[in-house]
Amino acid sequence: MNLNINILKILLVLFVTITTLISCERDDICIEENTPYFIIRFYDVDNPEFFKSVADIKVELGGIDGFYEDNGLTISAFTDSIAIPVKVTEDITKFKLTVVKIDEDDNLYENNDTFELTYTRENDYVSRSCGYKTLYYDVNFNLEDDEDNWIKTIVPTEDPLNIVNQDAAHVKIYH
Amino acid sequence: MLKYIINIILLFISFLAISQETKVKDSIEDVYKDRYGIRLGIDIFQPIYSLFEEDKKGLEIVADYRVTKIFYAAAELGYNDVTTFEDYYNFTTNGSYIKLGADVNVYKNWIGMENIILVGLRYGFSIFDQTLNEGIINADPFLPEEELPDPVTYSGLNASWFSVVLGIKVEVLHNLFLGFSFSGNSLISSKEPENFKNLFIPGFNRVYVNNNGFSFNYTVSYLIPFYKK
Repeated sequence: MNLNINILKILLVLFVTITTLISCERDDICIEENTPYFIIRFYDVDNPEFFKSVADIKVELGGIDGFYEDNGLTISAFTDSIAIPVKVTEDITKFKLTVVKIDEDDNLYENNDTFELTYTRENDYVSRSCGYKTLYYDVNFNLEDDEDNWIKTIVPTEDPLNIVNQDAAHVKIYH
Repeated sequence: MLKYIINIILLFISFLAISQETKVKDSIEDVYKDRYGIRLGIDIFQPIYSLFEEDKKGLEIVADYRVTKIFYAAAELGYNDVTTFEDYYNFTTNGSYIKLGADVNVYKNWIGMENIILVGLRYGFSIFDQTLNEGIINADPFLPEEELPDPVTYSGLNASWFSVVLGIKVEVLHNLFLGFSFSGNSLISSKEPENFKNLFIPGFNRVYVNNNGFSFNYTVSYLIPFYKK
């Protein structure tokens, strides 16, 4: 019995183990916070202390077809807050928020309001699996006037407003 | 695929070992005398691997020098040019490294044999560049994709680490050794690029979240004996 053969056997086992190890190296999952969403909290314009939900809100972004859907995470039939994405390709994003309101004759009707966010962008490295996220600084907004705005006022929660995390609402919308 | 090719090569090498059996027994004049000298070799894994993975190029030269019956001074010198692909971007690491340390042979040989099962320690140092080739911003898929700006190269980076090495060296032909070693690496220092991270370091390989990693080599080396004792 030659000892070299035994040693070579160990060598073989080690090698197979290692080749198996390197073939499953993509074990990182992105769990860190990525590009933050724009968080809006809805308040009652008559009782500014209180949240007031909106009914059947639909969100559209300027230049993008279709309504933004969020797997039911933030946008539901009846909600007092939403988190929506902000464009990472340009320094301006136009939002169209459509809600269901009741008119004087108790009829339901859809009312849409449009507002614009302008900001400066910065790309920030997060981690191996998450890559880069965009942060938005010096955010300004401008509500378009139509004859029947359901949004009465928009108030930022901080000044200047930066969207760099999702810890709290970024603006309060009174309606 | 590669795994099977290497395993087949191994199989042939084990036949080589069998054919050498008689020769080892013959060298009675060497009994009780060990050879001391320098052993020079090359890692054969990286050149073979780069045939299959164009994005992973590397070369490593290994050397050890026998100091006492069981102690060996050991060094590895190498070069890497490796592109790593992640979900949102890919980057190329380019640089050289040196590892210095010592091995202890924990294997008690039969008389006349000089095989090694080693436990070793290394200090590793690497100088390298990282190039972020291309990628996209990680944002909601509802948004149009934003590409990262043109490739950025971060130069003059360096890193150092400690390794614990486990390995084996077998004399398959007279003075010719076949070896395999595995090292667990732990980062000591890393000069990080701005707004990026050293995710791969030459000689250290992939840097895991906890700043640890592992590397290995598969070497063919030749012993140049200086004296016997």
